[in-house]
Amino acid sequence: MEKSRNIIITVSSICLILVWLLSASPRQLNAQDPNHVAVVVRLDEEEVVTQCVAFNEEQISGYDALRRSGLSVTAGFDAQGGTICQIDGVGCPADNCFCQCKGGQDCIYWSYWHQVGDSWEYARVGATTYKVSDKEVEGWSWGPGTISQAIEPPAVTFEEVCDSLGSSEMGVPMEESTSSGNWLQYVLFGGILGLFALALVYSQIRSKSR
Amino acid sequence: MRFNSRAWMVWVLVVAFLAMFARNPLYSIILLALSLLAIQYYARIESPVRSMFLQISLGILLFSAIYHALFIHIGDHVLFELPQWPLIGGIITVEAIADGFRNGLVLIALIATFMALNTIVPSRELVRLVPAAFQDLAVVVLIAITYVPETRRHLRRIREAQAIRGHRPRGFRDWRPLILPLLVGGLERAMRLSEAMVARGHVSERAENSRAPERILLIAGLFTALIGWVMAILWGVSGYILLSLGGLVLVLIVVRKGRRVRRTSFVAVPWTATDTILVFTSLAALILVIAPWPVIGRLSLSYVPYPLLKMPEFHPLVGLALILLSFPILMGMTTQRDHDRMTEPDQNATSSREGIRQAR
Repeated sequence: MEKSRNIIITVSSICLILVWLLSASPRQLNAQDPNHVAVVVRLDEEEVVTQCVAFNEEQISGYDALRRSGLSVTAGFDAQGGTICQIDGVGCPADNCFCQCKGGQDCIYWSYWHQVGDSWEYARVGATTYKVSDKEVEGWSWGPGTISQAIEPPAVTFEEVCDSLGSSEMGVPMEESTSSGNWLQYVLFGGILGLFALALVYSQIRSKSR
Repeated sequence: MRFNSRAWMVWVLVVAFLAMFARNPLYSIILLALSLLAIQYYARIESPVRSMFLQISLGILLFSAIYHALFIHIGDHVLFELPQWPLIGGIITVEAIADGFRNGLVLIALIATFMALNTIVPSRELVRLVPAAFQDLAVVVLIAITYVPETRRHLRRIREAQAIRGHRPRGFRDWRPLILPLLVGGLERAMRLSEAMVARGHVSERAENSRAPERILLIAGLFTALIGWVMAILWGVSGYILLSLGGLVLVLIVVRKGRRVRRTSFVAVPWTATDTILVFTSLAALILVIAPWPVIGRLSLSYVPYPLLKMPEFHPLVGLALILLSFPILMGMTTQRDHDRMTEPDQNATSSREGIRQAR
């Protein structure tokens, strides 16, 4: 009796938690956002992309600012936070974020910068931790990444990027939650689990009949 | 059906490696199911152990989810926001919780895999898997892996004895009559074990096993490997050569030391064709999953729930490669029937003996 009551309580708790988790909807962005941040991305020696990112929160993370810039961003995550692996097709895949940082050669990766006054300052914390406020300038540079070797992004002011807004202003809506791949793959996965369940039932029947 | 312990070891190592390598929860679930089915077919575990595993698994999932939710503030599905407290302040997201579940699942799959090894392969064979050069370590491993089950059995005996005498532990103080006999019993067991080991001449072998040149070479090999490892990080190829050299010296010393140790085997489990197939299917699954084949979706092996939660991918070919690891379960399903057939006469004999006793 007590056992079945415990099971009912556990199952109901799990269901409630699941409903709570599923009820969360993605954050929506407003096109008329009051705050702006300039994002400067140095893809190589010749190509530099600048974007003015609009946001309605008081602060957003450096990672969110980069994501909302409209450039394609690939990041790797662990318990310590996120690491930017690829921006606009330049960099490494998410499962090998430091692919050009092996074997004692130059360690090439995306270095992260903040503009302080007129000069760039190498970021002391990661982009997922750092908070960006209105009228700040964020920089990303692909190349040798260590603090002594890193190449800073070109000198660009906030006004240069955001005052001539027009087409360069971005406030990219969060992408919709999509199911990657088709449903057939999940049917196959269910089939494999079904086979395992049959094997389990078969084992139970055999052990009972003995 | 019984596999050789070395073949089981290969299977377990492949499953454990894939559990760590494939961070996709769908593959983790398959690997977890494989380990649990292997336990179901080849080991008999008691109900309390099963419920303990379930409780530990739930605990790991819960802890991992809370840890990730508190320390990773990334994701678009925001549940609520904590004030800007150090470390844990910020948004609490569904993505971080999902990541916690994913990591917890990997940990549970690993625990289940090693539980399979521990329950399927007898302790004496597990010890034999340790290289002969590490004989002393093997004895320590044997004592360590039998300590918990032995203590649990002892605790159950004490509880039963106390229950017969009408003792029912309710509060913390009521556990004293259980803890003290358990402690005394543990000490007695340790004394008996040490006496038995001394009686079998365990201590007398120590002098023969330690030779000065070998020890010097061992230190030199370790030092060379360490320098090689550091050099490999800094300068690449030249370091790997030194690392291999150091590793070779270490392997040679272990083999040389192992040859001097004599082991007696009373019941040797032979290596059969099914063991070869088990090793072959395990290695095939490993190569199929980790090698960069163009047709196998290696990208599906990793799953990152950030920044927006989405369903993990399931690549059919990776799924089929993992199915290769179910060979021991298939063998267990087919041979259990043979086992039943073989044991039937024994059961009949037992029942007829009981019938005779009853008739008397």
